[in-house]
Amino acid sequence: MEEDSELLFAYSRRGDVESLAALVRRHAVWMQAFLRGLLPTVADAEDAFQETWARVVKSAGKYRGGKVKPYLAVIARSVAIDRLRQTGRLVSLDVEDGEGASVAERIPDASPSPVERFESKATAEDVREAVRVLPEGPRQVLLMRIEGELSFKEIASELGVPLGTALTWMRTATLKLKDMLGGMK
Amino acid sequence: MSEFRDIEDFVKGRLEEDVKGEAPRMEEILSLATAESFARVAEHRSRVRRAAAMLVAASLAIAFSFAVLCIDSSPRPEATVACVIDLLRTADGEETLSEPSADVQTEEIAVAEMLLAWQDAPYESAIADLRL
Repeated sequence: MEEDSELLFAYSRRGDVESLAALVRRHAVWMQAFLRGLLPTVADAEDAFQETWARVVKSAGKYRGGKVKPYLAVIARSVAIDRLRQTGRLVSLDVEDGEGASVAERIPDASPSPVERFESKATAEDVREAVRVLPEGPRQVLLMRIEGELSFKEIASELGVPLGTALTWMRTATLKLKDMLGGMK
Repeated sequence: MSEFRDIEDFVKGRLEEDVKGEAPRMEEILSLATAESFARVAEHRSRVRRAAAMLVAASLAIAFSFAVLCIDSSPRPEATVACVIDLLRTADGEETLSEPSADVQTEEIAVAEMLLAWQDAPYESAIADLRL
C-alpha cells in the first residue's frame, strides 16, 4: 500500500486524481469525526469536509513531505475555525472566569489510578454530545490529539498556547469525559 | 495512564462509529481536483513557454551584442594609419622622424672613435681607460 505522502505527491506532481481519491477515502472517517466534534451540526461538518479537501487540492503544490494526517488535521481545523468565525460561534480559547483563573486551571487534579479501567455504555451520540459541551480549548486539543494524531508540541503551536496549557487542556477534556461517560455502565 | 488511554480510545471509537458507514461525497472533490490539476498543468506549460521565449530573446540579444562587438573591434585600414601617424607625432616619434641634432652627432662620433681606439689598444690599457 502506498504511503499517504506518496499519494499526495502523485497528485501534486503528476496530477494523478486517482491517488487523491485514495487519500480522501483513507482519511474520510477520522476527518469527518474530527469535524463533527468541532462543529455544531453534521451539515456544517460535511461542508467543512468538502472545503478541507478543496484547500488540500489547491495547496497540494505547497506540500513538502512529512506526516499527512496531522497536515490534514491542521487544514481541517482551520476550515472549522473559519466556519465558526463566520457564524459568530467561535469562542476564545483562553476564557477566564470571574475569579481570574482560566477554565483549565479550575479542574481539580484527580488522576485515575493506573489499575483502573475505563468502562462505559455511552453511545456515539452520547459521546458526541459530551465532546460538544467541553470548553473550546480542551475540545480542540482532544480532537487534534485523538483524531489528527498531532503531537502536543504541534497542538500547542497550532493553537498558539504554551505546551503546558495544551497538556492541561487534554487532561481537562479527558477528566470531564470520564465524569460524563463513566457513569453510563 | 491506562485509563486516560482507555477514554481516548473509547471516545475515538464512538466518534468514528457512525461515520464509518457513510461514504464521503467524492464527486465534487474529484471534479475540483481534476480541474485544479488541469489548471496547474496549463500554468506549468505557460510558464515553460514564457521561459523559452525569454531564453530565445536573451540568446538573440547576446548574439547581436557579440556581432556588434566583433564589427567594432575589427581593424580598419584608415584608422590604423591615423593611429600610427598619431604615434609618430608624439615626442618619441618626433625624434625618430626628425634629423639628429648636432650634439647628438658629436656624441656619436666620440663614442665611435673610442670604440675604434679600444680595438687597437691592448686590453689592460683599455680597462684602465674605462676606470678613469
